[in-house]
Amino acid sequence: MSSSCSYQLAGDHGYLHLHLPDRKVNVLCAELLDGLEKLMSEIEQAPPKLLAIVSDKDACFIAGADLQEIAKLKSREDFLQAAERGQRLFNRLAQLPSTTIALIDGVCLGGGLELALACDIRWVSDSAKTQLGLPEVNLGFIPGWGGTQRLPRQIGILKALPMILAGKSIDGRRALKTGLAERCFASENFLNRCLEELKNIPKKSHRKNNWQTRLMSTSLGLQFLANRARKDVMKRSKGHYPAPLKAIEVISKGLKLPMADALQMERQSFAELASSAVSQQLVRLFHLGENNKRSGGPGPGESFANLSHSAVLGAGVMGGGIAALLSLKGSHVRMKDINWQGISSGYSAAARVYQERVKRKSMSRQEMDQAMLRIGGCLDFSGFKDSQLVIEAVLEKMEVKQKVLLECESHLHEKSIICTNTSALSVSTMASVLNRPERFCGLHFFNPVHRMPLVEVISHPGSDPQVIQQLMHWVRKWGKTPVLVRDVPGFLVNRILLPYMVEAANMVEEGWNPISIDRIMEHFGMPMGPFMLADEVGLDVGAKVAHILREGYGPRMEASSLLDRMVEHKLLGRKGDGGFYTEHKKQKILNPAFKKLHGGNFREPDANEVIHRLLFIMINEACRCLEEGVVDSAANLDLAMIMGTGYPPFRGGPCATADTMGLPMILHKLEGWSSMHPERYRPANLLKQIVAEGKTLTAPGGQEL
Amino acid sequence: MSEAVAIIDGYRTPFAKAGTELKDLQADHLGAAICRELLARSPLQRQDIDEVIFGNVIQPAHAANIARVIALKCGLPVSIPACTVHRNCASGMEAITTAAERILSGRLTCALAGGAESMSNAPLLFGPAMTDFFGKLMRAKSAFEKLKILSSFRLSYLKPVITLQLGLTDPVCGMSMGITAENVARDFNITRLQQDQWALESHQRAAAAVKAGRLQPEIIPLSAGSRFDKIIGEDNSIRAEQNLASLQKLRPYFDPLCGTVTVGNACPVTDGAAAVSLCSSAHAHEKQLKPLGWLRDWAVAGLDGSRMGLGPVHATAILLDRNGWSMNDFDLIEINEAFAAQFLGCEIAFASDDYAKAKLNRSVKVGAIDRDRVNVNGGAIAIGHPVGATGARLVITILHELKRRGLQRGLATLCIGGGQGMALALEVNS
Repeated sequence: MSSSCSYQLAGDHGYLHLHLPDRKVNVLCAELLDGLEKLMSEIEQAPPKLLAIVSDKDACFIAGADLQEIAKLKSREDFLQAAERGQRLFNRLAQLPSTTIALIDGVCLGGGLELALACDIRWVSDSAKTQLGLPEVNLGFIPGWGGTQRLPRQIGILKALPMILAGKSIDGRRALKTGLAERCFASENFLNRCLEELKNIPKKSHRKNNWQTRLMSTSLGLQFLANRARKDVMKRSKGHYPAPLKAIEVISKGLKLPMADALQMERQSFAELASSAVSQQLVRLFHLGENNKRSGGPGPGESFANLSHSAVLGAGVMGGGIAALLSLKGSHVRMKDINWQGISSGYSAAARVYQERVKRKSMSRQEMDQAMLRIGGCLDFSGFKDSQLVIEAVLEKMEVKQKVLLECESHLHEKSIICTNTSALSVSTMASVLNRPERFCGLHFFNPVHRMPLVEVISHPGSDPQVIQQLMHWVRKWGKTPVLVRDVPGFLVNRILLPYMVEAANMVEEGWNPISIDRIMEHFGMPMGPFMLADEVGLDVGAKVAHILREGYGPRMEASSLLDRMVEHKLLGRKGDGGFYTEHKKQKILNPAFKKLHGGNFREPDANEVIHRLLFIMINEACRCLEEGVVDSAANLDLAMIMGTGYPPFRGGPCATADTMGLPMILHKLEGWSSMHPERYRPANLLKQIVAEGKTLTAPGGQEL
Repeated sequence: MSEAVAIIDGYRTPFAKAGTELKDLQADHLGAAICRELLARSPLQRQDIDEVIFGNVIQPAHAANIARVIALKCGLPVSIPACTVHRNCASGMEAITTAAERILSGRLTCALAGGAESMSNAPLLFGPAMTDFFGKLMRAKSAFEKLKILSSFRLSYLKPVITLQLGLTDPVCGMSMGITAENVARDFNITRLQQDQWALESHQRAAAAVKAGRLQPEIIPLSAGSRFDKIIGEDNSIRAEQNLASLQKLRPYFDPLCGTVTVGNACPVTDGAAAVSLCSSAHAHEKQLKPLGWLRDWAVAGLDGSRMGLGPVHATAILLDRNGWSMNDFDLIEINEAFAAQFLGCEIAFASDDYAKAKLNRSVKVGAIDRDRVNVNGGAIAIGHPVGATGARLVITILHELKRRGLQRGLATLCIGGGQGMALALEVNS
């Protein structure tokens, strides 16, 4: 079968099979759309009594639109055309006199669900892989093939609105409950069962909405609902993401319009959003994430071991958090510390993570007890003999780490992998004291472990590539994003983030108002401003990393003396008695102790000036990292910064931001500043080179540096 | 005399009075935690374990065949089977001997065995009146009928059946365990003072053992509390500061009028678990394992339930006869202290020709026990008695102590509610 779809008639039953060639899944690419359009004309000639749409792919109905093709679209006009084409096709499907039914066993997302919604009836399987949803808002646009109109008309606005706004999918059983599907069958013999049931052609369903939904579908109800949803979205997105807001508008207005008008409004909004810069960054980010997930899989004939037994050294906040993660993913974890008090704090840290899940109902109390039971605290190395992986998270002191790692190594199986979770210390220096340095590398988790998706996997010259591959695989299995980086001081994320923090401190020392700087950066999209972040992390931790970087990179990483003075005066941030800020009547105010230390008198900075100074120094350092091969691509660099520091996703990461702002302007600014501080601002060679060649750091949708 | 079975390793959780530090952990959690630690420390590989056998008395409703629940939760593969055994207070011992029997018969090579009990979590039940009321209400058809039945409700229906109390009562003779101890005290003329003195002795011995760190090698600390924010590392019912005067002040609990048994000279209701790993001697030799000790032989006996406390005398008599030993062949002895009266009764019966003639069908006494060799680190009156786990605890305790003292053979024996006794002979060297 080389065609993308085929049509068979058996009596008064027509079967439309989807089987896009050379792909694991069906996507609504040009080829499949061509095929469907052709078949639709054929079917319209002689419509059968019943038309069933079936996918021949394993565990997939239709995964959605083809994102590769979307990435090639540029202008608003392109997107408008794409939307029109799909809408026209689905309208034809909806207007067929036949009873149309989608038989869904597997992924049914985006355009796939929009197609299914154009059918009269949907039957689903109960497989965990059967997922129905409209995830478009996550990519910065809204469903454009009728989804915003047909979903609320099918299941009621009360259920449709959150589904579209969160972009989350639901499984077969939930689909049945919400009324998105009419029947749900066992996945194992799904098709046979459907065919059996289809002998009697089912009636088109006319759902009766309940009184709440009917109430909310009145003009007043819609207005109320839209207002509430808008407030909710603004709270979460701070207005940086236009897609959900647009979705609310299109859904609430569309319900009162005739279908044709509603669809026109939908595709106009879709085209506007999909061609926006925000959407392009989010689509790129989605691709980066997918590439990260897909790359580094086992080669043919290879397979990675399951992590069934692991161990953590040091049961502090990090150790406890890592143990909680490993146990949650089914591994039995030994958790060693030097006293029971330490182990107790590790257990508490893990229990807190689980309790949060129990509260959210994503875990039952029994599951929590079992996960806790998989963690075994110990003072000795008991049970380490079985560990496939040991993650060390003890005190950040080179001598201590070397001693602990060496001692631990002697208790391990020779195939065990041993890792250090350090935020700045040299992995190579640790490796130098070990007997099996090839089975050792860095695994840098970010705090809090259960929230931060990034894990830096740090190789050193002696590490075994297979060990690295195995680790990348495990990190992905834990639901985290691994980024492979070279062993340089600060690794990737801290090395780029620290200059930003230091520059912010420099600005305050020059007399600019820290509250305004924080506000400007939050407005830019950062989850919190640099000073708020410094308080969260702890100024002592920040100062320590700053010194390590100063040692490694020389005067360009010279930390502001303000930080050291604050640490001296015990202004450590949130964990102490406040840092830049302190709490007063549950409100964050500027810490009087910090004001006294600084001297007071703040000037109001210019927003552009703040953004330029804080970002360009970061971008410059990012260029150096690319130049030195700390990370393999601008793509992974951007991904790491977004996943590891909360760099605003809609800005696409430092490299993408740099390209958007214009590299020549950035270079010009840096050169200007470097006349005053040559060490601090000297532009990276790579930056100069790229500007000279007229290139960019990133290339959306295509091959990246 | 049959071949001995190797006991590779043995550990227990700290024992905690019911309703205190371990109350948030169910019996299966306690058992799984100790098995997890046993496996972490064991030279045996997980896949070498052929079966898990656990004793438990209360049998929690959420964990039918608790041994299987423990086996899965402690991290053993699903392919390893598990069964639960029940011989009341000797369930932990029964688990060990069941494993040993299967090893000796060649059906198993290695096994985990032990006992787990959470007496804190013994449930309260609705009584028959309430059950009947619910049943009628469910069957009622019309609203009027329902109303009629609802109006028949009496507050007294809510009186719960305390299963713990029920479990500690002999279902045949109807006496509570405390009353059987009173019987023994009457039979042998054991005074209140003698009982309190022995209770004091038990606390003092246990406290001294804790102070010297002698119990530490057998205990593995545990994370507990509803938020897992506490580490429990020690038994919490041992009272170093216990004195005779305060014991004497307590009122008799079971027979308030003319009794002698108080909560002070009885063992407390306790939570805890204990487990050992076992293997055949061939396997131990082949893998050059260094076992903690060996199970040489064992015996079980039945007797009048109203005097169940004397069970150890009956079981030990059989054990001695079968092996041609005398009491002097044991370097150390652990006799479980359910009650001071019961322990003292055993002591007298062991040394009594009359008792031997009357009850054991033998011409001379089983043999006197030397107080310097019995319960040297205190007994259940101080340490506690999580019924399903104690049997395993005695085996572990005596082997650790024999090893520490450089001695060879020990006797661990226990009285069993319902009228039985069980006795195990344990050795350090094969």
